[in-house]
Amino acid sequence: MNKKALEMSFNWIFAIIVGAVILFLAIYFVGKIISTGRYQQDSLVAKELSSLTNPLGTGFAETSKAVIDLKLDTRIFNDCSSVGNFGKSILSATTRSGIGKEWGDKGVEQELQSKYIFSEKVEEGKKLYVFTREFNMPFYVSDIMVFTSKNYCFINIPYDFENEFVNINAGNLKVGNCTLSDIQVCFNQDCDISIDTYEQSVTKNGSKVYYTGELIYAAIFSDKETYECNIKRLMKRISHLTLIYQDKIDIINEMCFSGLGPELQGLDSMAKSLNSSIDLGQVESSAFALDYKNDYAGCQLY
Amino acid sequence: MKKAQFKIQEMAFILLAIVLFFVIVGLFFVAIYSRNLKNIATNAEEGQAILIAQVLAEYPEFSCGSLCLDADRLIVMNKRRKYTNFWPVETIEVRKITKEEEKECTLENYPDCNYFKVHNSETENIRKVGSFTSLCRKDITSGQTYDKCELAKILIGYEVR
Repeated sequence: MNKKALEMSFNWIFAIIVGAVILFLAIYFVGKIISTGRYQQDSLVAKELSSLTNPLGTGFAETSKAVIDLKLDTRIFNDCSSVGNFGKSILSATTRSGIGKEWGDKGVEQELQSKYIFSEKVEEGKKLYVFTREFNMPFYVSDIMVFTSKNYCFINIPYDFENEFVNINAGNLKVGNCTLSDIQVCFNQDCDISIDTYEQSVTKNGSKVYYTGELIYAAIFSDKETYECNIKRLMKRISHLTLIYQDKIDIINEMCFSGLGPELQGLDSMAKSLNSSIDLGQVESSAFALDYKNDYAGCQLY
Repeated sequence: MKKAQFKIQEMAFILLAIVLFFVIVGLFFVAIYSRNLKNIATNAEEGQAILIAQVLAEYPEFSCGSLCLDADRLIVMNKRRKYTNFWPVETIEVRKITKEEEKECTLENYPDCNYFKVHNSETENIRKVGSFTSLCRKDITSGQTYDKCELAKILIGYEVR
């Protein structure tokens, strides 16, 4: 064999092997950078969503609403934990991509202890519709924040709810003229989501939850697990707030006697003993008793 | 050394130089990228802190109406342990706008004080943003109870990364 030919072929083999290694490393690192960028972007979506929950509070306006335009098709994951002093809503997101996996891994989770986010476990779309309602029991406890991405159609809606409907409709809710793609919400009759206004319950996917007051909106648009978890969290918040009011009574008692201690304790114990939404009625009764006494107290506590 | 061996060695050195060059460029890129990431995180924290400063008076733990902080509840919220991880910020302070010397409020000296430390984490690198609000408490004059309100500044601290 020609010695020069051998020398050439060895050089080529060596160059090809090393070139392939460099190319492989380059492709590997570019892939890593892209996936890290995607992870960062998904984490930012969740972070921005969690930051947006602050100005979206009602601020004593009873209700507020907004449409959040997401640049890409996005899945918002809403998890809830009732463990700990206040429990937490856990938001995370992932976006659809044309490169690699269609849906990447979830970005960094955002834990919100002071917010109560009601939605399906996963909301998907380019638009996220948000509305908030003030939740009082009997004092202001928090805003309940509802995230939706699907279209809902209300049937047989009572007159008083129809008026409220304008306040919560950010663009994906309508009354009547339902299409096949809409999720039907019916009052006192069977359909996708059925509301029994006499029993104060909402049945969805075969699961029933109970509501009181503004919680009807949370019950309609949440899955059972998220709803029940957030109800327990709200009860924990009520319990903490009753303790704060009791401490306040101790401070102002000399100049301003309210005599609301026993009613606050009653509400606290009812809130603590709630096992599921079926017990909401009992908490509401305690809240009514407190509110009644506060209205006639020489020194109103709230 | 044979000419072929010399050429292989030469190529190996060139390849090594190329790899080193790309590694250095990569490290440079990573350094800029991570600094940018820290800025993004700090900006997000700052945005959150500004929003909290604006809406703190709406939290039921403090609120006595629109843009009103209840001083009687601020004092009972002072460093309340169960609320340690509740707030999405590092510090929450409220200062009365007054010419008097700063005096931190405790259960013992309240209401003869002007500075409430409601929440304080152990984070060191903190920057603060503020917002003004009214600070009200129950007071009594000639046997009549009334709401005494003063101007105050809410200071929210966030971590600089």
